[in-house]
Amino acid sequence: MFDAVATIIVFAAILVLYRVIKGPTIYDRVLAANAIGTKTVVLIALIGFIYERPHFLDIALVYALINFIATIAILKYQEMGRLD
Amino acid sequence: MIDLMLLLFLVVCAIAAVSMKDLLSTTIILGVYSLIMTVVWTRLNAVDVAFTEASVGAGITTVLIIAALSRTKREEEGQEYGMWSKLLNPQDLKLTDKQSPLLWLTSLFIVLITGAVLIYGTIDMPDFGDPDAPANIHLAKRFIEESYEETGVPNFVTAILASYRGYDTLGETTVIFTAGISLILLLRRKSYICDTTIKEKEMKEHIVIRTISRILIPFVQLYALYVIAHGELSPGGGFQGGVIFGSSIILYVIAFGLEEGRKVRIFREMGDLLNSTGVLIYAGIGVLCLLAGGAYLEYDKLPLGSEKMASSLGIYGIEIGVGITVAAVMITIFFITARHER
Repeated sequence: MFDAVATIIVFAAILVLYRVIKGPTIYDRVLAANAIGTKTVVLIALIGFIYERPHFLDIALVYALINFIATIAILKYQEMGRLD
Repeated sequence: MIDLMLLLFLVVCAIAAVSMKDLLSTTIILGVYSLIMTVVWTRLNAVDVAFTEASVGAGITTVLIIAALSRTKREEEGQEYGMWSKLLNPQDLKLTDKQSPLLWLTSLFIVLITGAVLIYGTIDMPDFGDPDAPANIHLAKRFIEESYEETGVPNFVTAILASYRGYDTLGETTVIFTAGISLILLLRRKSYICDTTIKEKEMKEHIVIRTISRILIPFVQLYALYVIAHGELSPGGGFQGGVIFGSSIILYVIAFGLEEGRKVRIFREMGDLLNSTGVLIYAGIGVLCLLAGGAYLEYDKLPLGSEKMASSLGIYGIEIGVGITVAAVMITIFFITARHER
């Protein structure tokens, strides 16, 4: 059951990967990369369930907390050309 | 099935990252690569490695690459064709003196040969998870069975890193420290005279980012402290926690901008101090062990209750040292590369 769900989520991430690579603008890529990040959080939690190791939720939490820092940095660089 | 899909994903990401012309797009794709790499590590049950990949790859690598990009340009000059058009129509290739077809073919040949040799090298490797593999019959067994009795630390990855291989970890911490001071020596300028009013106005409009950051930063920092303190029991430890803590400060700077003068000076002086404090704590605990009559970094001999207790507390101390150095060096690297003189 969990295996099937994990496979479907990976498949969905591969669909989004098309948008990351194709673009055409930076904003498309950022949005798609962010969607893949969200799927990764769910995927890691699912793998934790499959292996029955609750420690995996720690990794999912790290992603949920700091994944968006890179997004903000990319958008700020795109808009202003610098980060400070 | 899922493993095959993940590996396919990684290969596509790697090829796309190489063939992309715009460096910012390449950075985004490398971020995605790191996300999927974490899933692969969790599939392999390597939780500590996955944790490191998650904390380093997701946030800080991308931010530091972009900080470096902001000091240079996004696209290569004087190149009109991407990799694919070069491969498909070689006559379009603009040949300079250095780029003759012979050189191109030679490099392709060398790359193919290297790849073939590497694949040949994997043929007689043991199967994944094979209990009779050399890695599983000597040291791993002992670490799994006896590390808790010997070091008092339940998570045996932490036990190996901090106790059995404590000298290696001290070396790694020193490497990070050295990277920080090298960057300070190479890139730091003496005075920063900037026009602050424009930047203030620019960032005032981003009220969503500011509000969310203000709410989230305390939680990120709390979680970083949890990761450092809980490294003995669950995945994580000083390195990962330090990186997460550094990310929270970097998020603050990105969202609010550096108000010049006061805060810059505080961050600079604190950074310089904390860079070295962490290594000092680590090496100092080693010296304390010497004074207590043991070998260097032999935590059992510290006068802190029973041997197990002393060992556990000593490992806890060096985790804190590693965390302080890593966080301070990450912040220093970001400040030095991202700052622009205007």
